[in-house]
Amino acid sequence: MEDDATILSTGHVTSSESVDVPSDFENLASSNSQNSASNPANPDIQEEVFVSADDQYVSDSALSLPGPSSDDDISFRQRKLTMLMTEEDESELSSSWKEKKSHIFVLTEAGKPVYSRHGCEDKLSSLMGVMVAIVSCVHDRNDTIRSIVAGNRKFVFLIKLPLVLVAVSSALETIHQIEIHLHYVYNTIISVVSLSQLNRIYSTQKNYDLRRLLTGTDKFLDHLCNSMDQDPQYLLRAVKCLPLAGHMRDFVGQSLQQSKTDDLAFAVLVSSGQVVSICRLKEHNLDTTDLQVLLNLVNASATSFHAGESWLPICLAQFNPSGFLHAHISFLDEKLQTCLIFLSADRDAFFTLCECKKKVVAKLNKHKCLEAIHLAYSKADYTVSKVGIPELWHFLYKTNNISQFTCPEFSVPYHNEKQRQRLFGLYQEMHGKIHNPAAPLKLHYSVSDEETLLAWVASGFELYATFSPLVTKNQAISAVDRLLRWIKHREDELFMMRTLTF
Amino acid sequence: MASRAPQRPNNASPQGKICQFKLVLLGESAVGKSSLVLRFVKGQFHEYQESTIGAAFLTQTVCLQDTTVKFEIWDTAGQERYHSLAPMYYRGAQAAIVVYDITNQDTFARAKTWVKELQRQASPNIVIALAGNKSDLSNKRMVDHDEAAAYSDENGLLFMETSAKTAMHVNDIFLAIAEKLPKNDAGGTAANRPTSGVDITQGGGSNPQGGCCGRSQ
Repeated sequence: MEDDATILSTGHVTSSESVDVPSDFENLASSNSQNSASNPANPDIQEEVFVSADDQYVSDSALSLPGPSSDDDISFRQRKLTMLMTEEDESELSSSWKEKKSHIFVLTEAGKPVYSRHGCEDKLSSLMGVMVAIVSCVHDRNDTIRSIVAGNRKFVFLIKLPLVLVAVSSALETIHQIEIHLHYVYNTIISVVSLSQLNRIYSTQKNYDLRRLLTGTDKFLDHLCNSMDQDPQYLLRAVKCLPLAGHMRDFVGQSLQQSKTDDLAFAVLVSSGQVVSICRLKEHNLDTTDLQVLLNLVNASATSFHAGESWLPICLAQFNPSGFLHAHISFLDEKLQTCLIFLSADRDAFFTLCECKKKVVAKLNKHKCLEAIHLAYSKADYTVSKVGIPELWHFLYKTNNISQFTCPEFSVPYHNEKQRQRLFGLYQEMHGKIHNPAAPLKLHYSVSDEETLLAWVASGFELYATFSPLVTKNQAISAVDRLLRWIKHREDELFMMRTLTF
Repeated sequence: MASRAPQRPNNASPQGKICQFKLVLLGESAVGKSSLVLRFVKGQFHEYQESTIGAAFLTQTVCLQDTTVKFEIWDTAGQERYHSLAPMYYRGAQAAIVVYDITNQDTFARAKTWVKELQRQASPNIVIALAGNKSDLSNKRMVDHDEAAAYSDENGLLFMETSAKTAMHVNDIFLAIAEKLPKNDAGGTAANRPTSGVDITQGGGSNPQGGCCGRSQ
């Protein structure tokens, strides 16, 4: 139980307080004991109560579940002291571990560790026990815990029984944004095991160690977590397309259409992690989050798919959480950049899809599409200077109806990692303000010493732009007008405006 | 250390027979199945081979006297969650290589259960080879060569200790399989493709091994 204190106590910025029991905490103690008499005094628990109610107490009382909770002050203090002392002995939870900005944990309802972004989840099992205790503590009051805010740290819970996902973040993300991250993590786990399989296992074996089924999946989750810290696709919930001349993208789409066979649901061509084109069954849409899970799978595997053609089951949570699709994945070029993915409902379709692949490749070659894709890739992203607005430094533009976004590559002043991260933090902050569920905004304009920020949500798009700090509001607005015209003009190149159907 | 390698993809002699065989690799994860295949098919070796996801399909052609043998190779992932999919790959296979890691006794035990499963459920005349991989790490050996050889004799398996890293016996084991396979009866063609595997879309009902659920800890 010794690690309990560690992460939770890191939420306490002022650790000197930790010897004294704050008064809120006493409240919680009493409400807890009432609760154990199955008489919820206050089912509507304020998150803040938990926060200021010294989180260690939460763990303490919860740990004694399901027995009657003890509010014996002395024994509590003793236990707490033990925790604090043993904390120092715990090498796994080193200070570098605690200093990580963003933690993500996945555990089962029974408190079994499934995944931890940092550190080895095995050594965190007692910490996870505390998490599950907090969850069940709140659950006992017919409520569901969503988040705890402690200083600048946010603890966000996503309860998807039999799994519990917990994020601890000291970054600028909002709770809502962190919840979305947890959803991505959840969907990635579901993509491996499927919801029905998960439920089936845990309906009979509450203690099952899910890591047995997830062996080798860590790299996908790690890649996802790292990407979520820097890639706008997860913030915007949109994918980025490889910029490609419109007619060339049409050729690619037509080539994909060649693969039409029974039970083939989707054909996707990806180059260096960016979507080139998609072809789908008329009656099915490939949901953006599903597509992102798929892209993460391909991007996270440096070499797994390089040898030959791969065939694997994948569960796309939005498409159908209880069944698997079968993915045929192959790279089409020597440089291993361009990847063709077929998703079929037929698990025996492998050899049929091999034939389909040949047809698609023949057609792609006929129109010299692969060369065009390579060329587009080698040109890489456009720079913001291409837009021709000197005071514009960077932007993110998302088209809402097709969930795709575009952004220029990072250039001065966002040319180094530190600045890039700062900019991403600013985007997160702006996005959070605009999409604040309590008070959504349409327009957000702010000026700092370093830059001027503008966020604008209209019916068809979302735009986040950074300008030089010297720009006036009028200049910024007219620059945005010009930018929107520039994007509109290149719509066909920057976005996949049409997805063809089989 | 590269063993004799006359079997890089070569042109089928026009007068010779061409046979096509389906071969599947099975074994615990991280024993080196993909490394063996990669060594055989591409002559490459990666110290940090990523784990296979699902299964990978590759082909390679070898020449035996007057016969050209084309292997269609299913390199399966060793992880438990894919176990229930294995029948899809070994059904209709004419050959299987069951791989273990000579430095890990557990993988040898796992290899034996694979052999049993193949003997019970794969086609009756399947040629099974046992490969004790990572033979370059013989200083860390945990599985006795003679023990594995005796086991193979009892069960009528081909047996070799291989090293994907040094290429030792890698081509030999595939060649030995090719030699043992019958070449007269229109040897394995597309007709033997997987037809009735385990339907993973149907949830649990059809999972013969209960492979994905296993036992609780």
